[in-house]
Amino acid sequence: MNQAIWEMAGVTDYQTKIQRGIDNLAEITDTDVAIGESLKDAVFSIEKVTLYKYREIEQTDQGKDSLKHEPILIAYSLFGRYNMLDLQKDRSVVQNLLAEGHTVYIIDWGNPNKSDQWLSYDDYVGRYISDCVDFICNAHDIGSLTLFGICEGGTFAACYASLNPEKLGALILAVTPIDFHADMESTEPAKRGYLSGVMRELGPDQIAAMIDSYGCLPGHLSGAVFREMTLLDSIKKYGPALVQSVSGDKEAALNFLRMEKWLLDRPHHPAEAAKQWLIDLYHANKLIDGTFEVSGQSVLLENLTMPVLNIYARHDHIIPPAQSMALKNHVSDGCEYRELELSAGHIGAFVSSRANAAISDAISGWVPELKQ
Amino acid sequence: MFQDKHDFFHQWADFIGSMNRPTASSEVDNAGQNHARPDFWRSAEESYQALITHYERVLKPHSSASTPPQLDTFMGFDLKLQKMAEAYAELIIATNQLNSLNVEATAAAFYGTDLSTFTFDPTNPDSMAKWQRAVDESIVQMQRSNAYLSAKSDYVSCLTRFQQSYRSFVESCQEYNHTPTLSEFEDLSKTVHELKREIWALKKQRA
Repeated sequence: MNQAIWEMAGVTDYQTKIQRGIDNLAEITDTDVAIGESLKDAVFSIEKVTLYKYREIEQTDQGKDSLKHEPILIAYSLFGRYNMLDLQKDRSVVQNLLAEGHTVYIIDWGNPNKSDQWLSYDDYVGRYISDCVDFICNAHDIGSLTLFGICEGGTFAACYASLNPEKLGALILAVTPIDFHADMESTEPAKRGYLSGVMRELGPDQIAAMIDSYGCLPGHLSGAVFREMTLLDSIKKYGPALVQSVSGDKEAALNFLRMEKWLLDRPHHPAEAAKQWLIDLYHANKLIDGTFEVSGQSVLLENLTMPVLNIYARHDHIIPPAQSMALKNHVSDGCEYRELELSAGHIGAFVSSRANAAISDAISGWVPELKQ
Repeated sequence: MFQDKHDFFHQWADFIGSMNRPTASSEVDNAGQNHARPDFWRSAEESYQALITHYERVLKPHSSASTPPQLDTFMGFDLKLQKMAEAYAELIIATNQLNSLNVEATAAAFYGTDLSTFTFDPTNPDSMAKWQRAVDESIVQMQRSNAYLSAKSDYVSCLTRFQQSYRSFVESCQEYNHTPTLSEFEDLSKTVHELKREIWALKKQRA
């Protein structure tokens, strides 16, 4: 093949990009690909769960008296790490909230292994979130806080809010499934959830046997399912698009690698909680008919009397918006309820600069002032 | 070995390896797009069936009426190993069925496109994006089809059977080597978990 043909096919450019990508990767070290860099302190722990408090951007000496709004407690899903909310400084919901003067706490669920397979919603909602809320309220001598749950963490938060409405001044949910069958009616295939379709097809015994055969829902298995949902993108990302992703300037390559680092750090999901998530919620949709139980108590969405901000992503391929939006039909009659639709996907809602700023602004305006 | 089967890259190696699996008529094919398949699909189908027969012959030698007496010759290891091999063969077949549907959906995107209006230029990102959109839509549609959901259900059952047989084999080795098995460890961890809950509840009562 002569030089002209090579150039016509863009091969020369492509080779240059490959070389630039190799140079970038040779220069970048693992410590350069740092995520979750905002300063924080571990203030409470129970078993493998740690509660962190982020440091204020400008430390004041005024202590708890400086608190004007309720502290925000963030609960992320068990399928990923909490540091998605603080991926990098210029795309950090945490940083945005701190900049607005909020007091921010976040729960790290730790690294569950097979010895944690018995952990269920009774533990995550009834003990871990409950203890974190009590700790924060005691630390600030306050009666309520704002709970912000994301994805499965949002479902945890909704359960907690239903059982302990007096302890929350406000509830914020983001990309959270509530009615797991709400997408079934859609005639557009892309608006029907992949996972909800598969879980409805499988029998409860089949799901339970699969989870029991592993002793957990392994992180690599859930990761493979997420990649399968966007099959072609997953192939492209590690194929032709890889060169493009790493061959820009160093900061652009780092952005790509930070996201990859987060995606690959996928924890195992404890077995009993996974069965509740996939069988009781995805398959049987028990949250909607009021038959889902935590610590022996029915979770009733009509108990959500506090102000609720429900954030969903229009292009969410994991949690179809219909599954989140259904909440408005189930909260109590007097509930102050607001929705925020983001033009983003499930993860893009937190890492795209625009969506991330929109989330932060909406949350900031939703957190109640402390009652004096 | 099995861990690797879930590794994304290994799955794709399997996927690429099974790309010759031909299309069967399914919901993915657009109605009215009954294009004649090239001959190579037919020969590929024969190769694929030969491969499946090969798996069954090699890995499932005792599944017919000629099952031999089950002697405890190797303390049951041999029988458990055989069960595991059978489950593995079934898992491979279930994986291939899923992969074949993916290929079928990709092919359907081409069969369903009017190529006379489609200018394919690999150096033009818009042209690539158009192709990718067509394939994406076809795959999303296929993943919601009954054929896919049924194949996925088979896959989950085969995956579970393989995990169970693998665990059973490993546990017999552990028993004969005087080491705790995962089942014994599970008993223990459940007891510890219940104790943790009780202690937590007692602390709450006292507080």
